[in-house]
Amino acid sequence: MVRGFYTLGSGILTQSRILSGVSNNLANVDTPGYKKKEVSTSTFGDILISRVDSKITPIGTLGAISTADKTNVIHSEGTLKTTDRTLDFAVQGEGFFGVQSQNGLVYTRDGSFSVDNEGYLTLNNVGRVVGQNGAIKVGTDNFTADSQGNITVNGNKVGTIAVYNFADYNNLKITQAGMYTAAGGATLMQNPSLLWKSLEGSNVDSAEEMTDALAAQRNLQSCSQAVKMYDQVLQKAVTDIGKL
Amino acid sequence: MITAFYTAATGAVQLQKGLDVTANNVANVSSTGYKASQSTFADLVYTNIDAPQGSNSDLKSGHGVKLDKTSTLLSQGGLEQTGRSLDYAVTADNGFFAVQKGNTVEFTKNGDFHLSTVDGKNYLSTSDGGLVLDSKGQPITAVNEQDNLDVGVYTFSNCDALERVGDTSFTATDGSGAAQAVTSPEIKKGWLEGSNVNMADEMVSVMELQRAFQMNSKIIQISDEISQNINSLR
Repeated sequence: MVRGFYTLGSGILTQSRILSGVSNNLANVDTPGYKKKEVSTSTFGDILISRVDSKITPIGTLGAISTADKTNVIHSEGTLKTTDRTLDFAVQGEGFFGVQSQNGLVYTRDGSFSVDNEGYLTLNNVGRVVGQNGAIKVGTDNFTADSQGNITVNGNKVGTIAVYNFADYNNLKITQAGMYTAAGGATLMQNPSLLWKSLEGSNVDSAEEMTDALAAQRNLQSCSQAVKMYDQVLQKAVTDIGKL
Repeated sequence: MITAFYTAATGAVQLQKGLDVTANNVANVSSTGYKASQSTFADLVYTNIDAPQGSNSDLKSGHGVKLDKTSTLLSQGGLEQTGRSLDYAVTADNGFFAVQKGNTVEFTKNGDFHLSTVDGKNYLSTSDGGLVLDSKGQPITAVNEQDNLDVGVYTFSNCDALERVGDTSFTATDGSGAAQAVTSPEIKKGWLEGSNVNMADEMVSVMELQRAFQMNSKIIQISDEISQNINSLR
């Protein structure tokens, strides 16, 4: 009988996890290269329910617990905006920048780069940007770049930004600071399309997020309302039935 | 729901900081030689919801946003002819005037200079008393304001890393490298460089950030309502 409490409790927990996903999306509505993350839900495995009379007859299955299952990344393209800053890059269409972080190679669509003290092109707080021949030593922010990622300083080519693509984006895992890692399957794109002096905005649609937030809130309230009703039913069972 | 509450709180706080940056740009729309700042955000850590930290789980929760950096847009501001003989403008994006203030040298695009008299000599100086340097790094003496003066223009290997110190001035950092004098720079005498703030861009940014702030506040409110709901369960 008290099984319902746990089912409703799992509903409350799941909705609150959905809401924290929505909340992270809305917080990052202005983060360059940010991709919407969606928490998908599932039932926690079905249980067999049976009727108990002279013998035990199975009736069917019951999905008793709802649970947050996966955080899916929606890899649609964000809006591109020009910034006029020479260190800003955006990938048009498919592709990711590679960045050599402390924990290995990570991938990102965030192209708001800087130049570190040794003169290498870096992504702030993450690491050096990977070029086709290792890290790119630009030494200056006064350079030109083309759509293939070739960087030219005073007429001399200093490197080419490597752009990677993946056959299956499901291989990409979110790492600690919003970058992605891949177990393998990264291929160097032969003809990437980069936009220089531009950044890709986040692909979060705020109207959709607000709708999801309200839906999650109301779903959660429905669950909590049902918990109250359930409690009242149990109260009847405990107090009134005992009077007989 | 507690996670959502704090995540949205980082959103509200950090987006407001972004608005501060924009507000400063708007306030300096007519400051001579002002260079606009651009704020860039980055997402915070992601943690596993139901797996040990550090393991490769598909179910992750993000914890908000941070203002990652503010970078300076060094594009040329509008040039305005003033006719005043002590006004100077550098026409290159990466060129700066050097101004000696005490023991430090600051770099600026603001060429609104004056003559100040120290020990009986006229020096080219800024309105707050800093001495303008020539291409050899020495203060510039002048007899009268009509003189053709050798005003030094300096550049850096990486101007993006210059540090703002106020008064539309910058100082050199390890990242920017040391100042290098530009040989035969393009200087316009009798002109001033205006601010490079683009009002249309800034207003768009204000609206964008305001709405983003409001939506994050709404999530805080929703999280609060949910807490209230849970509290009233019994």
